[in-house]
Amino acid sequence: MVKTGRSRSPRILQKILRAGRIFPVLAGLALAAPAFAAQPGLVDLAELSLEDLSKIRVTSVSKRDEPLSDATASIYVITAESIRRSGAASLPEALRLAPNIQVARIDARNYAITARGFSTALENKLLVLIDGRSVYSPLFSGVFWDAQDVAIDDIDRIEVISGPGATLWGANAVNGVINITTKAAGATPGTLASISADGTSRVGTVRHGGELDNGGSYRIYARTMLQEDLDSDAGARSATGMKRTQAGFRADWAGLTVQGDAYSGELHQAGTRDIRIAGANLLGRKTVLLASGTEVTAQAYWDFTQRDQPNAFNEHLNTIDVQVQGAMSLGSRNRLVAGAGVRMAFDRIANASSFAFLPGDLDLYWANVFMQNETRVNDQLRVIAGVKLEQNNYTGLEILPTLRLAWKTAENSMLWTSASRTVRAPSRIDRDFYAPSQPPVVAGVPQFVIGGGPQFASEVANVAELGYRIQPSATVSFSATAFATRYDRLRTLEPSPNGVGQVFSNLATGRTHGLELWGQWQVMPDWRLSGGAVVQRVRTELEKGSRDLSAAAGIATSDPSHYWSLRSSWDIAAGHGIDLMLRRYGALPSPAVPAYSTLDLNYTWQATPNLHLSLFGSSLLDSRHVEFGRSGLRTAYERQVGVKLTWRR
Amino acid sequence: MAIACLPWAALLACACLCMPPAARAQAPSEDAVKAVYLFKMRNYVEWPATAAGPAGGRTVIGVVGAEKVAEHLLQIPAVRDSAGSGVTVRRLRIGDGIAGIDILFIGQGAWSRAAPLVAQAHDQSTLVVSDSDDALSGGSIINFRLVDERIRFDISLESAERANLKLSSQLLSVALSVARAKEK
Repeated sequence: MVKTGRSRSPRILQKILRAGRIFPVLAGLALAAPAFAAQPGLVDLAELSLEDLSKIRVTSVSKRDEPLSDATASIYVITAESIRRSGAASLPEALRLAPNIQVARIDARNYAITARGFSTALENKLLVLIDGRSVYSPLFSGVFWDAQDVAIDDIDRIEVISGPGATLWGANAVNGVINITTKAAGATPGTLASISADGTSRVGTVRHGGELDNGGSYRIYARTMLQEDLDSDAGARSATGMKRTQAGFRADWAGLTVQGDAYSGELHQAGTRDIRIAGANLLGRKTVLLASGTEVTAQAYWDFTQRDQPNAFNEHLNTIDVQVQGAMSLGSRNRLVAGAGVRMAFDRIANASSFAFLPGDLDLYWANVFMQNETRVNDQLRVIAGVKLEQNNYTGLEILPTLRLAWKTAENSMLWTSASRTVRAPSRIDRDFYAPSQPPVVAGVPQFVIGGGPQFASEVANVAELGYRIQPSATVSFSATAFATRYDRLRTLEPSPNGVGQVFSNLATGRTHGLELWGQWQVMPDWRLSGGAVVQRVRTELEKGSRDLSAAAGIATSDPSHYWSLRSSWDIAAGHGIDLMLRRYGALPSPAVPAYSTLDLNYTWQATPNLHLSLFGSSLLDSRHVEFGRSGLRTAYERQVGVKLTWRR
Repeated sequence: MAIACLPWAALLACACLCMPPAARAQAPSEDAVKAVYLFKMRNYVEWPATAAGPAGGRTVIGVVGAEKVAEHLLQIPAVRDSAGSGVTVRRLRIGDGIAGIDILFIGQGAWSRAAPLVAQAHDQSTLVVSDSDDALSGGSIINFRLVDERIRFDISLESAERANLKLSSQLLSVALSVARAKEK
């Protein structure tokens, strides 16, 4: 029925080697570009006034080490400062700060988070990494947001890329990539304790950082959160609250990072005992700068996660991931990033009666090689070409190429365009999902209602983007991205060819297009306005011959035609700040959810050098609103007032 | 790919094509900008007459725990011509003394171990500059942070007073925030 990864592994190498012939071609293309003039010298910074210096943009500290204003992608960075000033206490709530991402809260602990459409409770086209560790579940192809947490005060930045990122990040980075990066241990010395509470939730965090004997730094933290059950719009209590406790550490010395976390939680589920979750991970990363100027980064991690969901499944999943990446300059015009990686996952599932993942035990693997070259054709034009070859145990080799052009139209503006192919590779839920677990057998044929997806192939997206960024003055910046995507082989649920029940298949297509806009205006030194808007159209249709029975199986999307936000950050006096965020979210078609607007307010006060206080109110416009789900069953979010106290020394 | 169906895209493209191309300026690194700030700080600080201070015309900038910032400082043309500018840069290690240092930059690599340095710096009216979270509460006077891809800084006037240093209003006006001294 389902082949395990091991039996096919010898073919991987052959395939990768064969596909490796692409590399010389790409490299040749890049090198053939015409010579370009020497880099103009740096602006003579020393000649600038203090004021001008404070307005100079600097190189971003991200992995690709390029100024954000040069990135050829629709990337928005949520800074630590904006998270602090928003009062957000959880990852999903912090993600609302990015104008290019759709966040819909489903209930007390579940979220539908996506970019560029395809929002469902089982959203599967967005890749999420925490400090380089993927938290995309190979079981149901998405993120269990209720199991993911980081100490909010330790976040350095969250890079939110809407659009394809597969050439660097691999399969499943179809509609976006979210990179959550925590601060280096040396940046969090001393002791911090914080407590945040509103009407229905409480979060407490303690952290301590210090120095290591070898000259490095470390921090340790522990965190616990409680989210009460919330009421539905019909007034019934929905058992979706949770509590979770997590602890971890990070140490950095001499280019080496070692970090790990462990967590456990209890999630409410209607009519059963709590869902129990637990997990742990350990990651090491070393960056070496060779004499040749080549920067090599090697990273390895182990991740364990358990989810014991009564009447559903009890999953124990161990993942091992190793990757190496090098970045080097080839001559004065080319910058090459290349790498390879292997991930293995050992999934052990004890199935319940209503449905099952079969076989219960399955070993999965992914192997990849990639390279991406950036050529500076001249002072204005850059060409970025790259490809990732990724092998997985379900569909074999996937080719994930991208071609990007960047044109510096003026000193302060850039136009870029991209064409990419990306896939969502099958997860266990697409291939191995059977219901019921032990069907009646008639004439030797098991009568499954849902009989897996033996032929389920990767969903494919071909994406074109056109972006523009401009900074008309030192105080104003603006970004626009237009995108058009064609999706093929989207998931449907079709009658089984053997005449019994349904199987997952790929008989739908989709088209999306839209425009993402955001900008920022520093009106006065102590007052900043920022805003963002997305307008989009998301359409899916069934192919001829499809008899898709369940729109809920994945192609039905429930996306707003538009959403926008406006934010004001005002320092009313030294140590006192007021932040306002107004959000508008368009209506959802199916299940129908009315459009809503909300206003959040956060007042921050540095009461003493050691004590920071913040008072916040959320959903201030209405007594309550709904974001997702069917009328009568969906959760209603009420106006909340809360407080956060942070003490440091 | 259906890019032709995007009227906005066409509009944007037209708008951009009308703009003249210009030379591409590469964004400087964070460390380079911090170095220039350090170099310029002396113009906005008044040292007490009693301190060694740059009263004699020569400013000594010490850098600890931030090798790249030190390198960038040394590359500033005016610093290279130290005789002309009157600025000298000294790279320090955590155990080194700081006598004679007027401006001391303590990088993230050293901040967690810098408490004794900070105490000594206050005693001898050395301007302490840092780039670590919470450094102001640990006695730093000027603390850099990255805000929207720009290097900005916060000021603790309380620590400045303790070190008997006066900061110019021009410096204060550029700061993101200024923590005033507590009432005595």
